[in-house]
Amino acid sequence: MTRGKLLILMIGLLFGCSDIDNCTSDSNLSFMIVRFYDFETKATKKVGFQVSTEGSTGLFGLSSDSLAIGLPLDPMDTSLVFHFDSDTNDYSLNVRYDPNFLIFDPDCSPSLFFSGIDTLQSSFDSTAIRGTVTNRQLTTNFEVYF
Amino acid sequence: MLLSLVGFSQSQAPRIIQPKYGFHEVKVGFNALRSARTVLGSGKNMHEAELSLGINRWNGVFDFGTEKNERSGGYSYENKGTYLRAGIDRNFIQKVRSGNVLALGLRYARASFEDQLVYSIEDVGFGNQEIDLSNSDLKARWLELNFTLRGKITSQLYTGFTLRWKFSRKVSGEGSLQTFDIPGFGNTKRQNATSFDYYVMWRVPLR
Repeated sequence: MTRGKLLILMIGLLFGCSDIDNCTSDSNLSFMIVRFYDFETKATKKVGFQVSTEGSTGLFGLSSDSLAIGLPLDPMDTSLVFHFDSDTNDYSLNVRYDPNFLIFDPDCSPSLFFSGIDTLQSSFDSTAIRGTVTNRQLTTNFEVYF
Repeated sequence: MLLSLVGFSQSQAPRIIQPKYGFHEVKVGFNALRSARTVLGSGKNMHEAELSLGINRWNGVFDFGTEKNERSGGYSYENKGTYLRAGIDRNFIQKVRSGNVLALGLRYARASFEDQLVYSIEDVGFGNQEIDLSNSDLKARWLELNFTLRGKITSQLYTGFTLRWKFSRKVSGEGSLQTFDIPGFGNTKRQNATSFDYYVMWRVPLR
């Protein structure tokens, strides 16, 4: 192969790559995932909480056999207090975060994800942060132990 | 005898030696493809001028451009700013004084721009929210590897294209809104980008 043909082939390969994306391939998530564990055994724990937040228009219900819950964060703020209420115990979790807006693809609605997730205050026995960013590659942002 | 002296003096006349280095041409022009997209496309306003200085087999190339992108579809996103490119090309054409160019080159580019996103988020627990975010002082810089071809059309008029591979991009000045377009670079979906630009240029030979 002559050098000229090789050059044309290389340029063709370089410019031949095109974007193949659609809205469903957006990996950003607009909520965080909280997973529940037993404080003593460190095993996953099924819980039945009613979750509410200050400033929320509704409750984020949780059935009695849930191991985890996805909780939306307010994109107009940088911290939020969640109240976890059950028949026997009430807990609170105050989290901070940074909202991030971007256009994933011009044909899709703008994408929202949160970064810098951290605990400001918690009444659970213990919390651990497993992912500071909300996206589909992570199955857990918060682990709470009680 | 006298004639022979004259002949001798003529044969010994000092030869004019062309300096090997020094500007032999200037080319000025514009990016016709970008101007055409402004006229024919919607939501785009982009123009670019190019100045090229020929020094033997090397060309010093400077680009200046403006760009404005408007995107919509359930949202409104506007991005506008300017960019500069500077770099050198190695011309592989044997007769460089023909003005024709077949070159590989490197560019350093910088952009200053701003963007704004307006849209409404449906209720996910906090009611319907109107989002209006902007970045007023965005900066970007990147490098380019260029393949350039220019050919003479008529008189001193030249046209041709430049293929660009843009890499090593960095953006600063972003807040909660992550920018989508970078003037002169393209969009930020990928870390690197490619582009095809078509130029119309006027050549001014200097010697």
